[in-house]
This record gives sequence, C-alpha cells and structure tokens, in this order.
Amino acid sequence: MKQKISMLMDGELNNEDAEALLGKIKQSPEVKQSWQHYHLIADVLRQPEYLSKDLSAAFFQRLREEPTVLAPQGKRPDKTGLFAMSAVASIMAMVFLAWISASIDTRPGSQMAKQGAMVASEASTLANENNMNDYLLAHHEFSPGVDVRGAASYIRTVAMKPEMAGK
Amino acid sequence: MNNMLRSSSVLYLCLFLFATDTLADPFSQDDLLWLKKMVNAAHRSNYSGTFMYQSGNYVETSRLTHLVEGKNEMERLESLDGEKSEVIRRNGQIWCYQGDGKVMVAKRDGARMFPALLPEQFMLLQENYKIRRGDEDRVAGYAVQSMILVPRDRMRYSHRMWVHVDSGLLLKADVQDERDHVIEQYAFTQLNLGGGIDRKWVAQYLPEDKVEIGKAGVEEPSTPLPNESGWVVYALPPGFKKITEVTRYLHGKKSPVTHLAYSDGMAGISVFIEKHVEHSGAKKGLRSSGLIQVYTKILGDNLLTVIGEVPPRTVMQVAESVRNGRGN
Repeated sequence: MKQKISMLMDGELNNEDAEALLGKIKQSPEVKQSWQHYHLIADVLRQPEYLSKDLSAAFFQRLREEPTVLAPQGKRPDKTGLFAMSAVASIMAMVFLAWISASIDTRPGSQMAKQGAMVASEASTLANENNMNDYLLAHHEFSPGVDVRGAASYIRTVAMKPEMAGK
Repeated sequence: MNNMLRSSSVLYLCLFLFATDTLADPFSQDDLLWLKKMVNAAHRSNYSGTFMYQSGNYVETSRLTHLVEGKNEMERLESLDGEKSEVIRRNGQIWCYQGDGKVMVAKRDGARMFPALLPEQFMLLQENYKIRRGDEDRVAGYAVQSMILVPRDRMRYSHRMWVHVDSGLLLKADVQDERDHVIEQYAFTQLNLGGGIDRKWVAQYLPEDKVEIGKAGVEEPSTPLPNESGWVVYALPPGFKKITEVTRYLHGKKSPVTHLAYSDGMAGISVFIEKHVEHSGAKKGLRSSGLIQVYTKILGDNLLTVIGEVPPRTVMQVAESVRNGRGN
C-alpha cells in the first residue's frame, strides 16, 4: 500500500490503480493519514521551511462555520465585489500558495541557502546534546568510511563542542 | 491491455538501463589499486601533520599523528583551537578525552581494522558509486591525485578525495550533496611523512597506563553482543547491506540498546533502538553535523535513533520503516 502511495505521488501509478487508491484514501482514515504523512515527508525533503501541515480539518471546520446565506442578494457594485472574497476563498488561496511554495523547486541558490541555514542551526542543537557522542562512537565502530579516513572521522566527535552553537 | 504492455515494456527498459548502467563502468583495475593503496597507506604509514576541518560556518584545526610499531597502530588527534580535546586510538581501542576531564572509550570492530576494505566492501562500493579519477593537484606541498566517488542515486553523498601520489595517503577530502554543495571538508595544511615524528606522546599517553577503566570519569567500553532482536528496516535504501546487529549499553542508559549497522561500501547507517524513557530530554527529529545526519523518533514504547553519513532523506526513510518483525 505504502509503495502505491509513493508511486501515486510520483505520478507513476496507472489510472486504474490511481483511482482505486484515491478511493481508499477517501474511505480509510488510516490510508489517508499515510497519504498526508508521505506528503509531509516529501515536503520536508524538498523545502523544510514550508510544511504541509494537515490543513484539511481546519479548512472544513471554517467551511462549516461559514454562514449559508439563503436570502437573495441584490446586485452589488463591482468594486466591492472584487474585495468581497469569502473566507473560504482566502483559505483556498492560502492553501494554494502553501502548496505552490512547497511543491515548486525554487532557484537553487535560495534553496541551498535555506538548507545551509537549516544545517547550521541544527548542528548547534546536536552539539549541545548529551549522549550524542556515545551514539557517534558506537556508529563509527562499524562505519566503513572510518577505514579510509582514519582518526579524522572522529573529528566530529571532538568537534561537537558548545562552540559550535549559535553560529 | 495495451496500457499494461506499454508500462511493462517501460519497466523492462528501466531495468535494462539500470543493469547496463551498473555493469557498464565497473571500477578499473587501476581504480581498485588506488583505493587499496589508499586504505593500506591509512594504516601503514607514519605521519604527523596539521589539518583543517570545515563544516558550514564551523572551522577547526587539529593535529593528527599516526605511528606504526610492529603490529601496533597508534593514532592521536588533538584539537589545536578552542577547548582542548583529544582522541587516541591504539589498534581497535579508542579513547576520547574532552576538556572537562571526561573520558570516553570505544572499540572499533577488530576484525575489520586491518586489512581494511574487504572484497565485499569493494563490491558494495562499485554497486553504489561510480569512480572518476580527476586531475593531479597539490595539497600541503605534496603531489596528489584526485578521485571522486559519484553516487549512482540520490540516497548518498558524493565523496572527493585527494590522495598522495607516492604513498597513497589521503591528504584532503570533501563531501558534496546532489547540488554540488560542499557539506564538509578537511585537508592537511602541513604534513611530515615518514621519519622525524615526535614519538614522545606515545609513551606519555599510553592509554592503558593512564586510564584505569572503572575509575571515576572513565566510561567502560560496552561489549557489544551479537543479537537477533527482530527489528527490521523494511524500506532499506537500495545498495545498503546489513553488517551486524548487536546489543550494547551506552553510557548512562539503564536498559540495553539494540544497534543495527548498515553499509553501502562508503557510508554507514546505524539504527539504535532502546526503551523510551519519559522526560529523558531526548531531542526528536532531524539534526545534522557536517556529513552526519541524526533522526530521532518515538516508536511505540521505544526511542529510535538513526545516524548515518547520508542525506536527510536516507536517514528519514530508514527511521520511518523500522518495525519489529515479532509484532511489536
């Protein structure tokens, strides 16, 4: 099932299978959750600053709260009509924007800068963690790169000092 | 039917392309010799030098000394700026001294120490990376040959290495992601090869004399025991093979930790599974330090930590597909 979801996201599933899977996503909350989970993972991988947090629940909540106007409305002047965007539409626009920014691979420069920023800030958190060195030493025991790099591999263990933080 | 036929022929075409891609450029004998020379030199040469390590904004200078005496291999890595810290290796045993007096001891798997790079490892390496020999260059005053391990997919990084032409010693290395962005690098800026190396520290720092295991501040190396815990990585990224599975005690942990180790010939991935302790302060999610990515999550009653010299997507894929085959 998970493989199929991943294939559907990549556009590799044929029409029949895709429809069957979409049906399942609608019916089974479990499958739906994996579907959202996969999108979240994909988003994180692409661009960590915009996550497709599951907006659907909040969206439908707002939609339910939207008053249903049954009375016939008089024709409004065009000018106000332009600005009378309903809450639904603005949420739609926001979701769309978030989706656009999450799915479009922006220019490599900015992408790299963002990734760089993420790595830098994350490195500082890792440096401050207790016990992380124990895991790293254990990891190095079997890591093949150590054969080639020798003790230089342990620079990371040594380098994990508080000075790394806040840079 | 037509549709099916088409999709299956596409599949075959892909398989065919994949197969030819893998088989078309195996490592040449020459490349293999270079790699062997490199690994051999890393373990069999005497040298001492200063090298610079850089990852993101972080730069550190260290001194690295490597000595071989008979069958014994000794290595010392000493930080030259900031807080004093040291790593000493004597064959498979490793001691980490940090500024605050804390000493940590670890062991390298003895069987794999030397002769390193077994034929299986070469096979794995060839399956996952293409090797390209680059230009001749100069590092720390020595003539070097550059070699690039280009990954065959996006699940691993690209490794560039500058190897001393005469000895085969690795003098400079960097790691790049798929956008050719350098994630971390290190290079010798000064190096003495062969004779004339200060051996005083060997006597001075003979770890066995200096460190009594069990004494306050010294952590005993945990002896990893082979284990079959039932934990499985279902969606193991292609090209990775399981090396071993052990149970060990990490410092300060009351319960044992299951450690699964995987390799693609160059990069390693470790999966640690332990009982989750509430309020233990364990950080969750993805963190990085240079080449290394760490991903931590809670899985039922367990805390899962995945560490690897691989891109974030690879550690995440591993972490998201860990299950216990015994119905956990």
